Amino acid sequence: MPNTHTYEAIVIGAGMTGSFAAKELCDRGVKTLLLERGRNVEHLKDYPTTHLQPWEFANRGNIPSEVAEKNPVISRCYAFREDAMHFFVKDQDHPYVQDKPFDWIRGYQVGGKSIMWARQVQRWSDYDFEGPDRDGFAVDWPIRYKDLEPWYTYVEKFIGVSGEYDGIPQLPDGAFQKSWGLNCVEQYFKEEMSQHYKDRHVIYGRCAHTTEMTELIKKQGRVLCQSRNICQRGCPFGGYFNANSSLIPWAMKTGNLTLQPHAVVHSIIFDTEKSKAVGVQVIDANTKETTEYFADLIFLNAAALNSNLILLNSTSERFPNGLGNDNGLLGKYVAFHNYRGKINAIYEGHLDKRTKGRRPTSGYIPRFRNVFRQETDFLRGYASGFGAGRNRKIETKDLLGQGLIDGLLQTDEFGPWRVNSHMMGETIPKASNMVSLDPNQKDEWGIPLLKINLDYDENDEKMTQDFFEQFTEMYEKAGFSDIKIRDTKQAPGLDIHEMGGVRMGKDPKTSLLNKWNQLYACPNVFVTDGASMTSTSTQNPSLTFMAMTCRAVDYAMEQKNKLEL
Amino acid sequence: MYARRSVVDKFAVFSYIPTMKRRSAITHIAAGVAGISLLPGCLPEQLPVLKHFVIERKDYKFLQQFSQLLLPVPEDYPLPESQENFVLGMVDTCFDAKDISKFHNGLLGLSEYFKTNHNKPIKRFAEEERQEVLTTLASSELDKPLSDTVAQIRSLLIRQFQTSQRYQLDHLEFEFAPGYYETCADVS
Repeated sequence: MPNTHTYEAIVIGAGMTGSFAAKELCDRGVKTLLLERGRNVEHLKDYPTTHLQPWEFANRGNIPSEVAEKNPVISRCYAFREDAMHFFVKDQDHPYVQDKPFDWIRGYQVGGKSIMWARQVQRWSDYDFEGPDRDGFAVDWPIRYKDLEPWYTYVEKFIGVSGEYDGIPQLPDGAFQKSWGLNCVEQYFKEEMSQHYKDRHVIYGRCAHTTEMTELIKKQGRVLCQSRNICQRGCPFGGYFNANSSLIPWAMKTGNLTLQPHAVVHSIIFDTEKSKAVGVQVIDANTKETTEYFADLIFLNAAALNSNLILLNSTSERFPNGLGNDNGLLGKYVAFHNYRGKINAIYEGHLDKRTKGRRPTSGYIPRFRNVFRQETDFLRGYASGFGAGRNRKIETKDLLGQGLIDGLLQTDEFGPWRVNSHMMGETIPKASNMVSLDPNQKDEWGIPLLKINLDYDENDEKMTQDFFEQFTEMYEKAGFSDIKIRDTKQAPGLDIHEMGGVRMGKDPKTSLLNKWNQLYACPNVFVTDGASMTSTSTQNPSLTFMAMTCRAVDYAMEQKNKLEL
Repeated sequence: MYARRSVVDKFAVFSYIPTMKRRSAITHIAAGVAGISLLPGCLPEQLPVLKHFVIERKDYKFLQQFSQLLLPVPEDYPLPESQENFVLGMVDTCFDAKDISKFHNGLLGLSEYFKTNHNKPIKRFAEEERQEVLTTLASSELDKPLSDTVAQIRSLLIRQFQTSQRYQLDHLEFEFAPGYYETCADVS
């Protein structure tokens, strides 16, 4: 009788990186168990709102107030709307401890947050990898761009990335499919900025959408993005990349994948005699029964903070403070992205032009502060989005009755162009920004609650002010008017880019993972999600997570074949 | 009401009919009443079942006519649900308890205001009266709680209208799929 509890590899977490790890392992013939604490979400079958028209939503997109009241944290997320709220956790079912305010946005299902993500993807450059060493704010990354470059290409070709070749040193170009292009005001702003600044580039926002039918995309059963811009519902066309439409079915077809949803991982089991991790303890999400699964190779991809939690909870005689935590740094140096700064304005030009239709991306401005040298009184910098659009000018003020109907039916005119930007600032990892296990409180599966202690610092305040000043100046130079800035004062977490706690580094005394994302102290465990990040830079991080995952699997298999693991 | 009155009228005559014929009469009357009650036009309109407040029939009817007064949607712009049901549904589902209470009180206040000042259903207003009322509603003459409720109803009705199929397709160029994006189209 085959032992259904023993596999060649176990992957914890069926989100973006876990599903990619599973796919890569399965491609190499590895019998892989992919564990997911949430429910299964099958491509096509489990996208209940993907075909609904605007008039078919009972609340026209609004969240019921009872739902909002019971879910105060998740309700703050921009994507938590009537059409996608079923993909988010319920706050009350998944409590955590906020030592300081932190909005932990989660999606517990097969596919994870890859269903609802914003699909923005940018590569890191050596200006990012070298940052901690140059500026002295963290340990040096043990890798550089050249280590990840082929994997960026590998991932981009698989997932399909729409982009333009911009030739900007701090934002390397990738393997792109064609773009929808910048609209006329985005193009105008780009040209204005190039005249006034030599290092501020307005580019097309690179995004994980298929705009060309490559053989690899066809092989996945995906087709072209239909530009519906309702991606958070799940896409029946597979037009944007999520794990459900591509990685999971691909891995399934190999015959090597066992997907197990409703599997809450309690801990990784470390065998002191064998001096290695041998498996995982899993609690059935529904029955609460405990089962152990075994494998020689474990990939931990539970999403940044949950990966920290699992390692912290994986205690043993050898590792009393958590698996791999010889240096006491597990859970520390967690960071995130500063998304507090917003700016919007009006542009009275290009009044004979407008856009038509929809596009699932907008403009992007790569980091321009402190790129080549330290220039300001704060470290690092911020990238930014840039969007421009026009609404129809529908005059209804003070109108009632037939006058109101007549006003609503006059839709031929357009208002001015409205432009906006939001900052995406790098935050500095600090030992004091950390997660730990609550000593007293447990969740319904008996797992200690995660205590989150993250906050902004003076560097973030200065950076936010700089964003306002610089973008006000840029907007003014472009002739934008009625410029309004806003500091959202949002708690960390709403950026949904929390990273770190299990950082990579060159020295096991000051980091937990080596350059292959292996735990120094337990080399058959790999951590390749956001927990592994030594610093955050400014880019949307998922592409980097996926590239590191594929690279780590490749290395792991090479080592396995050499019987090194 | 009609069914009940016919029964009452028949009972007035009824007392003079001999006993045996009364049983037969009772049977026929009961059958008649049952038959009439099955006619659709005679059924009272079903009130929506709300979770957080109860609306009386008279106020529901008022909201129905008030909605049509505020936003007389043309017949060739079909809506997925009635205006009054949309307003009540949105309030019941998406307003918090405090705002539901404010809305409900505002609706009752408006209903009372119309009863006091006009004492007839809105659908019986002459055109001149309708315009006069609309002018009052658009001005700042109403007490704030009432004018706030008017603004809320108005806003919800506009939302319903602008998300309706014909409006989306004919006026906002909505296309579900295939989507497209023109970066720089002429306004004309």
